[in-house]
Parts: sequence; C-alpha cells; structure tokens
Amino acid sequence: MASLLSVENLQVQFQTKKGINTAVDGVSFSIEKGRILGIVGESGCGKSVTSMSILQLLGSNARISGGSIKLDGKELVGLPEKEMCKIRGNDIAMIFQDPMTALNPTLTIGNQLMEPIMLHQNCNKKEAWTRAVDVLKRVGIAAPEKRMKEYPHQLSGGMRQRVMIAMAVSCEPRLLIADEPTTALDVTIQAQILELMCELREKMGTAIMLITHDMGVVAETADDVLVLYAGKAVEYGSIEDIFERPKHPYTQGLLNSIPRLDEDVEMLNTIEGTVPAPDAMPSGCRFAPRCPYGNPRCMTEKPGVYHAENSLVSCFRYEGEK
Amino acid sequence: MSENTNILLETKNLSKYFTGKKGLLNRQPAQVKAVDHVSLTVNKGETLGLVGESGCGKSTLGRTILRLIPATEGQVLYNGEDILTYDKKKMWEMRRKLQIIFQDPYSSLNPRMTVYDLISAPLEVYKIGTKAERREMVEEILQEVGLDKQYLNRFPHEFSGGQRQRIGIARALILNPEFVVCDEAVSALDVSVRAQVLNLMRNMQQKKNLTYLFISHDLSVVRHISDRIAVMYLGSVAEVAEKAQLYSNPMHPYTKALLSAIPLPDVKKKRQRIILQGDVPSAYNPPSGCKFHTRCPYATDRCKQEIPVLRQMEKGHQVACHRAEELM
Repeated sequence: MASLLSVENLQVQFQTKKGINTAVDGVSFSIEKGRILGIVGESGCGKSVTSMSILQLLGSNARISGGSIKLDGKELVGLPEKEMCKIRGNDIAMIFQDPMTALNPTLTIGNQLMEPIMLHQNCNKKEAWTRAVDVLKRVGIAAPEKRMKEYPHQLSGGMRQRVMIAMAVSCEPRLLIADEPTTALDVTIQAQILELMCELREKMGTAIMLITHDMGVVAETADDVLVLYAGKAVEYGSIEDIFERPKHPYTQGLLNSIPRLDEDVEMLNTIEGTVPAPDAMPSGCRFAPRCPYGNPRCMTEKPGVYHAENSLVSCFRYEGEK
Repeated sequence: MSENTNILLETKNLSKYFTGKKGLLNRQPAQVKAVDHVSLTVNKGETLGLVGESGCGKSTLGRTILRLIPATEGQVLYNGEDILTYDKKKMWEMRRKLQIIFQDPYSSLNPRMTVYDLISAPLEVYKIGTKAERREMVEEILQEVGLDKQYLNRFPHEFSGGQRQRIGIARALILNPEFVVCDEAVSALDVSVRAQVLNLMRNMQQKKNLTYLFISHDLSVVRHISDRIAVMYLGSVAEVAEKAQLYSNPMHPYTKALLSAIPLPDVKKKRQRIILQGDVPSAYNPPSGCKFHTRCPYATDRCKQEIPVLRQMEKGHQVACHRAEELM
C-alpha cells in the first residue's frame, strides 16, 4: 500500500537579494495513515518551509525547485491553485504555532469554524453550525454554543489552540500538519494539547506531521522522527532508534545537550559553533564544521543517505553499512 | 537580623500590584496582584531557580527585587539592609552589585551601539578607569565569555542569538556584580546553543562567585542550573526546596502536575501524567483562598476560603498547601 503522504527529494529555494538560498535540500520522508511523524531541528533547519511547501503556501520569493510531494499517490507539486484549494483544509489541514495571529480577531469563533465546513462539505449554515459545535465539543471545549459566539480575544491561549485544532479537524482531514503547536503554551497546557492530538489520532485515524524543536515533545508523541539540519535530512528512523541509538553526530549532540531531569551533570555537553547562515552553507556535509568526527572529506564532499540498522543516516561514518 | 549569615538577599512579604485604568464603566480600577507577599531567601553563591507558567509573576518579582519597578509593599534585604528604603544616590551605588540578563538578546542590545560601546557603557557610567584601562577590561571580559576581541567594533545584528546573549552576559558582568537576575536568559536560544550559554553562566558563577536568581519556565533547564528552586503560581510561592528534594519529592499538587507535564526526551520511560484541567485563572480576578484550588484535584472547602501560608515541611523544604501532610 502506498503511503498517505510521500515526499521525495524535496528542494525549496528562496530568491534573496544576495542570490538563491536553498532552504530545503533533498528531503525525503513518508507518513502512513494514523501515524505521527515528528520533524525536529533548530531554527533555520527548514522544518517550517517543508510543511509550507506541502500545502504550497510558500511566499512569492520561494519555489519548489525539485522533488515530488504525493498525497495518496497524487502529485501535488505543480497542481493548479484551484485544485490545491480543494485539498487545503479538506485533505490536509494545518495547526499554526501562534493561535492569536492565526485566528481572525474580527470574526467570531463560530464564523471561522463554519467557513471550512461550508466550503468543503457542501452544507448549509444550519448543518455547519451543528457540526462546528460538535467539533468544539470533541476538542474538549466546555459550553461550545456560548464559545461559538465569542471572539478569539475572549479565549485563553490553550482554548485558542483548541479552537485552531477544532478548525483543522472539522473536515476530518487525512493529514494534519502541526507546526510547533505547543511552543507558545505553558507546560501544563501543552500536556493537555498533546493529549488531545493523540486522542484525535486514535479516534479519527488522522496522520499527523508534528514539527517541533522540543525533543521531549517528539519523544512522547511521535512514531517516527526526521531530524533536519540546515535544510538537510540528517537522520530518519523510528522513535526508538533515534532516541535509543542515535547515529548521526548531530542527533547525538542534540540529545546530549538537553539538561536531563533524572541526572545531574556539572557541565552540559555542547555542539561547538553555530548553525551556518543560509548564504554561507559549507560545501560538503553541512554539519562538518561543528562535527566532532569531521575530516577533510566531510568538508568537501556531500554525504549520501546510508542505511544504518533501521535508520537512514546522512553521514560518511555509515557509508559501508547495509 | 537573620542568624544565617550566609543569606545574601531576602524578600519579606514583597508585593507588587499593578492598577488598571479607571474607565467609564469600571470606577474601581482593577488590581493585579502580580507578586503577592513573597518571602524568599537567596544564599551567597547559590542559584535560586524561579519557575512558573506565564503570568505567575516571576519576571515581575525579579524586577521588583532590583527596583527596576517600585514595590507596592514589603522589604528587600540585601546583606540585611532594606534596599527599598535607599535614596537615589545610595541606590545608584548599589546598582553596581545588582545586574540583570534579559531574555531576548535581539531587543535588549541597542542596535546602533557597537559591542565595545555596549559593554563599556556601565564602566563609563560609574567612571571606572581610563579609556585604555576600559578597553583592556572589555577585551578581558569578552574573552571570558568566549568572543573574539576582533568583534569589538561590530554591531549586534552581525551576531547570532547565542553570541548576542554572550554580549549581554559580558555587559552584565563587567562591573563585577554580586547578584545577577537571569530573566529567561536562555529561553530564546536553540538547544545546542543553549547548552553552551548555560555552561558559560555556570563557569562565570564559579569564577566570579556570583549569586543567581534564575527565572525560567523550563523546568529541565532550571534543574540543571539551580541549587534551590521556588515554584510560583499566580503571584504566590507554592513551594521552595532544594533541587533534589523538589524533583524527587514534590509536595504541592501544582508542582507535582508541573513536573509530570514536562515531556521527557526519553522513549523508555512512560510516566503517569497528571493533566490539570482548565487554564490559569485571570490575575485580575484570582480565586479566593488557595489560588490553585480551581485546578487542584485535591481541593477541599477549606482551600476555597483560607489562604495557605508557606510552611516548613522538612529541612529546607517549604510548601504552601493545607493538605501537604495528607498528600505526602
């Protein structure tokens, strides 16, 4: 059976004053029905650009310059805008990081919730209202009828994020893209929202692409993990493989630099240096200048993608392994 | 004063209330008790971690202690003397010893000033050294925080977030302060850079014998850097304990929920999670009695009426909960 979403060799380029920057370079992954894929990486690694290119919501200075994105075998790259509109919100929905800026402050929650339902599901206003109330109930909002008439500013941060999720799942999408859905929230509220997302996955069989910088959030929710660094996929594998047996020096460094709750250390392990600027990418492996195992070959030659146990790793150290 | 001579800073019933605008309809201006009768001690050379969710008053407390905003009532005792009673001149002298590192390294550095101007500004304010001496001091501190002196004439926008935070640290430490408030100092940084800056802060503390008040919402970061930790909820302190005590034996129901809500980067450990219902109540209209009772799974009628006081449960472990004994 084909995957629900399969992305192959995705390349996204941005036109800037200084020239062309390749923000995402040759990223491949797939998501099966009902699974959660975590995409992790630090700022500027291309995780949001990847999600935006799936929905084709990139700005006018960006374009998908290579690769393919297939939803149920149907190619999305190059699809006319009109066709894409039918997919957005219906087959693929998105939850954004900041619910305050993603919701329209001048429309009531009800209006905003009913819009996608009426647009995609061919219902009249009355049916849409019932369905909207229903979906609010499902995401755990008390007194949904009352909330329908309220405006975003009347809700708390956690509530707004629930409304965002309600809006995203209102048309029962097959794929839900969640871009840092809990970053703006407090930990106790974050726990509520993550639980809700897992619950929706169980009940509706929605596949979720969870984009985050928080390794803890990924460890607790995802099934598979894709680690990005400076626009490149460095490691791709199951959650157990990534967290128990990390292969790529970057993944190892990232996991080691998180302060632990169960042990005390005097000094944290660090990855030396900083993420390269988009217009000054190293010519070889992009992690080479910061890598403890970096050698002259890494500086000049780009590593391919190699199998290492069950994971896919882009590092010369695993070149020979099969 | 206190028998414990090791105490550097102590707040006694420190409160900060913000008053809203009087409007057409609300004749009684609303009052937010951002910090409500907080009594804490910070020992010399230690790091006191201050954690809580957004709006719990942790930043306000940090700023009130430094007199960056005036306190409504209470005392801030520094080496036994109440600095809130100091006049302008005395406070000006005092400020040399009290510094702050801000969260956002992008907005806390003046974009029109070079690194040299930024770091040497405190020296100029306090008229320390000649021009050549100042330059030497700036170069020395820059090297200590891990930046090359060739950066001296560059502007903040030429640096990454982690480097900017290093500049912020250099500026805070150039006057050799004793007490530094770190207000979410590493929250804006990426994981790998955050570890570098945390290590730098610990290095500096050991080298210069600093005392930190480390404010953060990130419980794993606070655990790493702190010796003792205070947990705040809606302007009040819920629990204070040694680091090990707090994480192994949290006593306040809020601390328990907070700790269980942290996602762990570990796939083997599956924990029983306490999920709190609802949101933090509005600070304009906080609940009566124990402010946590609306979300507390163990709340009784007493909790709704009576405000719990912070009391000693074991050595160095204070909790503000009526039912702490029963819930142990």
